[in-house]
Amino acid sequence: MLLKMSGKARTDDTDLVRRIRAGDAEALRLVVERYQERIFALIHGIVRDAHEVEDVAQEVFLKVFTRIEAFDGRSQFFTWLYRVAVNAAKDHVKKRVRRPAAPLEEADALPGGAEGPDAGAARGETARLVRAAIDELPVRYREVLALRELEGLSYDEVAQVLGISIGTVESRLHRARARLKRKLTKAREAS
Amino acid sequence: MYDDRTIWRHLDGELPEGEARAFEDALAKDPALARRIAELREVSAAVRGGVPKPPPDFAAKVAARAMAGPIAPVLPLDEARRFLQRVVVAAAILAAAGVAYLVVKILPSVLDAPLWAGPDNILGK
Repeated sequence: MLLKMSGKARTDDTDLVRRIRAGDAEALRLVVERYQERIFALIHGIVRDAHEVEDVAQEVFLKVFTRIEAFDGRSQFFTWLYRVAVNAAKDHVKKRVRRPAAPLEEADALPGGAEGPDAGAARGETARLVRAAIDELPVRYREVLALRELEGLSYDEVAQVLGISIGTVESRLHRARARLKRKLTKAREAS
Repeated sequence: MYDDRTIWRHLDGELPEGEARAFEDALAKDPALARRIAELREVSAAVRGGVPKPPPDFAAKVAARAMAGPIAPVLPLDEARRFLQRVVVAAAILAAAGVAYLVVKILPSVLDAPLWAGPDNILGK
């Protein structure tokens, strides 16, 4: 799910933003269609509960509609949109009364390939362990992980979205991944 | 010997060109490095899996809400309940303040005024 904006997409964004400023809900629908999968992925990466993603995503896109004046055009539109989404997801995590975690089995389907059932099961187990470990990460680690792994942003783009330095992005990413790897190794040694 | 940080920078495409080339050369000769990369890639793939998809009518639903006029914030149930509680508490405080004002400012004038006094006398005008 790599996000590399083509020149045309940028132009289209500019046009859509102009129309949204004029109150055009059809332009908002087009923005939603363009970005919904990425925004769902990003929010899920931070909120970590599939049941809550849709509400937060809806809130994000409605904010785009009502607060488009806050987008000053100095950054690219997607950078601003991601910032809105990250902030909404973080606010949601802060506010929520935690519900029981979503069943993991619904989230365990990794791309298969021509592997036998044992390899597939091992891969599924790895996925389960890694996701359980992500649930335990602090939000500041989850947000960089989601922007890098799910959205495919460069360190520089992640830094722009979060308003932090590239060095901080790199060190948070490294720590997050190191924790995931450690948990995975520990779980494998235990089994 | 490369550390995990450098390997991640390579996988993320963040190594400068010269370092990236040196890394590729080392990788071609070092099966252990290739195994470590495979491990890290596995972590990466697991992070990317299990992402929920938007429902097919999501974009239309959002546009319809935007068209519906002033947009109330999307509040989860617990938050909506807490918000309502705060409104009730604020209303109760305001009502109590109003009653206190009546008792302190107006009631003494009413009690002190002669029975035949008109409203102007009662309010001390």
